[in-house]
Amino acid sequence: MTKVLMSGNEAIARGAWEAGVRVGCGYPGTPSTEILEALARYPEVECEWSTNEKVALEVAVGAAIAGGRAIATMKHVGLNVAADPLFSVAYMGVNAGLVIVSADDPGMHSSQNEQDNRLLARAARVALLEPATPQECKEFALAAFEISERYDTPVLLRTTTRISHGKGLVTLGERRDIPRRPYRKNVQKNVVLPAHGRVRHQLIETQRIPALEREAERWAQVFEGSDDLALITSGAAFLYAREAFPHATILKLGMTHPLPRELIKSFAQGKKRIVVIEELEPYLAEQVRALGIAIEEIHLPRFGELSVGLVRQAVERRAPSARDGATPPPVTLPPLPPRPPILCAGCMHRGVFYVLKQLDAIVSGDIGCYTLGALAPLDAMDTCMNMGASLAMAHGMAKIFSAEEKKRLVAVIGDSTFYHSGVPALIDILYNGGQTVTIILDNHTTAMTGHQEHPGTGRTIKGEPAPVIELESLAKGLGIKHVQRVDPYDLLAAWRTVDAALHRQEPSVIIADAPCVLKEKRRFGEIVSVDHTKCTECFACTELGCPAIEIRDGHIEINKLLCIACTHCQQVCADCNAGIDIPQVLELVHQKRYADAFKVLIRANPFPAVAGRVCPHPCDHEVNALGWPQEKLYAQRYPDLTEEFPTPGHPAKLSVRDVERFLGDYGIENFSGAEFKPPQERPERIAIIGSGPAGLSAAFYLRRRGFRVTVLEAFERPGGMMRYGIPAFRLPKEIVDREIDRLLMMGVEIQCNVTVGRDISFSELQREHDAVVIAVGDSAPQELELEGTSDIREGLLYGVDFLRRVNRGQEVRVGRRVAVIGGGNTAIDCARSAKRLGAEVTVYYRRTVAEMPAIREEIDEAILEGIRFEFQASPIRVTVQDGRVVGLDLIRMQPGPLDRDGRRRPVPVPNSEFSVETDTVILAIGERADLEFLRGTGVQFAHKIRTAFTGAASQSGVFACGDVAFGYGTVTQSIATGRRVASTVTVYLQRKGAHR
Amino acid sequence: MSSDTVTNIVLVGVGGQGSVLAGQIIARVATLAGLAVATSEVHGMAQRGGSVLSTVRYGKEVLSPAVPEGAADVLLAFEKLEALRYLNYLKVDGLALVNDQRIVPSVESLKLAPYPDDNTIEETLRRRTEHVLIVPGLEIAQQLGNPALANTVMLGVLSTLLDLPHAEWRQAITELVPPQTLELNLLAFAEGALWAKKAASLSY
Repeated sequence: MTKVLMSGNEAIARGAWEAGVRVGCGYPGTPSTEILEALARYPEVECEWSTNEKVALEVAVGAAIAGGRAIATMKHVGLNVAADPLFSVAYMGVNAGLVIVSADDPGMHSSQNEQDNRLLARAARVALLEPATPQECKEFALAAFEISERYDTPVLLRTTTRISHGKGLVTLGERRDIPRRPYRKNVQKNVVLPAHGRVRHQLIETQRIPALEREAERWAQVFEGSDDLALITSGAAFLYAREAFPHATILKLGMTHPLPRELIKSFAQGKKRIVVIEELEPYLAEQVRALGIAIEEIHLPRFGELSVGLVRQAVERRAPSARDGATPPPVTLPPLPPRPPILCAGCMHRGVFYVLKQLDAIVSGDIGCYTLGALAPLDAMDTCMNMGASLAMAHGMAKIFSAEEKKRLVAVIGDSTFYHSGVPALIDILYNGGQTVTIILDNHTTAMTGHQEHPGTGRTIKGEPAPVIELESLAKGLGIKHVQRVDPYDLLAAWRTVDAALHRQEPSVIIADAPCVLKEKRRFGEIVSVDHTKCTECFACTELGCPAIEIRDGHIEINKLLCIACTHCQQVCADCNAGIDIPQVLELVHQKRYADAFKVLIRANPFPAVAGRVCPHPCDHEVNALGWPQEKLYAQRYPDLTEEFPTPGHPAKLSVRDVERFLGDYGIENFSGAEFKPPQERPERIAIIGSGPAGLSAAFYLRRRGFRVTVLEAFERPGGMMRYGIPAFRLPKEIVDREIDRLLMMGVEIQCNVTVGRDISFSELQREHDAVVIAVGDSAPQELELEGTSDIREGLLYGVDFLRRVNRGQEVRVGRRVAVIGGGNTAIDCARSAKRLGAEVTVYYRRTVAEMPAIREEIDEAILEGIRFEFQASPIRVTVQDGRVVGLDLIRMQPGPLDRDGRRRPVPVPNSEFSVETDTVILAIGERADLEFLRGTGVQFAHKIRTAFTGAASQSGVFACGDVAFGYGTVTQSIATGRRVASTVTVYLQRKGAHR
Repeated sequence: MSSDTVTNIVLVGVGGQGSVLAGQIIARVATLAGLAVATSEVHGMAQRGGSVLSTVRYGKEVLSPAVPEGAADVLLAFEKLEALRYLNYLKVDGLALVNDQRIVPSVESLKLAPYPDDNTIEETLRRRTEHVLIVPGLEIAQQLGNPALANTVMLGVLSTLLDLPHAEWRQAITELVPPQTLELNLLAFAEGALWAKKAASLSY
């Protein structure tokens, strides 16, 4: 006798084959799928993937009545679909043997519920077998056909995930030669008229069930053991029970409907302690108790999978946390990031869900891999109920929804699911005047369950050619006028198609058409890599939720082992400092839908009018950080916009920043801020320290989610660098005011003139709030050690102080000749401000012009304004007379060795000192954070606050964003970090709330 | 049924790393050696890049495929974070065999907790057992030209530490891996075994 390692599913197929089964049908569904796959490999058995479980069972019933043994396989919820024929065939009985396999999924490894189908067998009045090992799977399947024929009943063979997918050794037998039973017309049995049914039901209760009860005794097994503990159990629960209590006496039931009541009663006699061990429903316990047997009450959960440990604890009456003799105490683990399942790298569904998220769609979803589109960050599914429900549910929602809501409503369904049960709902929508947009995610396979064929693939389960039931013609044939195919890898095309469908007053079907990448092992082109000189670290690409996009040490990296070059991320990357969805914004502006465009803009940037004036606009790189010629595509797509918003000096180049400014100003005129009030209030209070672009950005996005947000500002007005850093000639203060007003309208509270550490302590803030976000920026000047500066009374200024005074409108006096030291934006702003005060200004910078971190246009403007630049010059000492600056000594610099950040460190050229006359020196070599208020609080910081890329600081509930944490140094990047920290705080508070 | 006569192996990793196939190979080796075997694995949704666990049990008599917590003789981890996640399946002083590979979970997951650093991982593992073996499985696989071979490299290492006959390993691999990758898989297996022998000679 050959012994082979087989899974429970393979063993069931083997048992059916040995039983001479002629027909096998089913619909794929974890954990049942492999039964029919294995059965289809036996040439003697005619197999099919049916369109759904109901059809599968009906085909099997037909075959059995015609006289051939037949089996129908499905997962537990599939039996709900097939419940109608199940309950009827139960009355009819069979001719040749009929076996239905229900593979249940306790613990919901891959299902939407964990119903216990033993209850269905009882409700349908059919025989129920529960194997516990692969060997039993084979034996029970084989015997099930004989039981079916002997008692004229369908037999439900019920497994669970562990039984179906567990493997063990199976002794093989030969296929029996079972002749076909003759077909006889038998109307009384096979036509379920009420009159016939009444007779059949009576027969079942009076004859079938009592006979089966005696049969059930043959399938019970007693494992003799100690008298102290007697267990009654079946199926997988038996394995756990036996493992946990190898010395107990065990009654293992094989047939659990009907139960062998007499046998159970006699087993119970004389037993001191009887415990029923079963998974999910108290199916056995209730019936055993009804026999008058005193079973011990134990606390096995009615949900989830059992385990040896759970059984042991329940029987030994131990709390789950208590120590167990056989289970060593667990090691305490550090907090671990979870790893839920995720759409594969390059999956076509990602493109569709990204577009649905862009469109802020209300998505009625369905069952398949694509249900993962519901998870963050895609978050692109509102509902998912059961196979095929998406269309009809959307149709129902539309009956109640407002016109606005209806314009966002789509149903999303997989190809296989559509064939399964989407078609009747599509007919319903059309017939009943619905307008639902249906997106069929056609990946040419049944992907979730392991790539089974279906009516659209052109192959049968046996790999033979089959006619293709073509989706497009099917929908058109029904009478849907708008049926379109889209390539889910072309995000803009997909966006346009879905957007157009949403604005139509008629039903439409969109077929997102691309093969499953896991099946076809596709690679589209060159693997994507990140150009870190261009990456703005806006993390927009991470919104795709692609597993190939990783964050390592705070930087975006593409995992080359996973990337298949699908180009989704390249299309999403806009090289935007704030992470704005520029492609969508441009499309909407092109369509002159300015309000929609503004709403998209503000998803990433609450200060578009500010950013549209001060952003260094890396978005105009010819090739973006992920290697996509985005800028060229904009100009090609939108000649109208390029004409309206040309880049100064480059008329063929679209200036995205000017579009942003236009929309920002549009927003100021048309949106008060009340539009962005949260739909629901949340109770948590959040304090944000600092009202610069980062702090206010965090405030905006947290308030939008309904949190109570208070912003504390040390100065007299909010805005931080937007107000006190950037001069008014670049950024009119009215713009800053108007955009901050929006936050106030939303209900953000801003308290000015409050210095944390002086007016309120940090720990007090922590006590009064559920989370604290530090966004104090780099507000203190970086000091430079220069000879001669110690006794200066007049003529030495620090850049940020100088700008602050200018911006406050305070009187600032500079001399006739001003030397500005530095090469960043602060230095240029100082130079241009000093120029406006009437001075002759020279900027001294220790590196070359190309290395200047300041925004290019600002340097150009400064030059046009007559400001002089001395590059590769570094100050050594200030010459002072009577406490007043009179001159500056400098030295020439040249590029030296490579620095850690890859730049060449400038080194002095020997003997190249020179002197200049000057009355005022403005030091603008950088800024640093003043973090004294954190001393002794336990929040770790050095020059900056130590955070993860998410903005979470070293202490729970404390977060940081903007320059004080990340130091990007631009308004727009600070805005991006504020939005990022808002998302982190939200996750933190949701989790904290969940644990309450 | 006593676990003294049964060897319990828990395989963990990330869906797509080939841990199910590795479990099948071990089970096949045990079968060829004439032992009783039971395994369990997950299919379907859990496989999509998620955290996966499968079990192999072999011995004179095995019924249940489930390995209770604290009962695994070997924790074979194809990924480091997953080694930590399932550490408590390992019995005290069992063998933690860990592929030196970090697969960073999604950005959303990292918002909940950071990926622990190498020191934390090793220290935590050592709180359960002193038998911690970090194997450069991915590196060896990459040297062979295909990072997907890391699972077979790990089997090579494991083969030197289990009392299963050597020839059966090669046979099981031959039967179970796709034929076009057989040669590379056998090479990866040999490289893993070689690494283990070198590591053993260094530590004694």
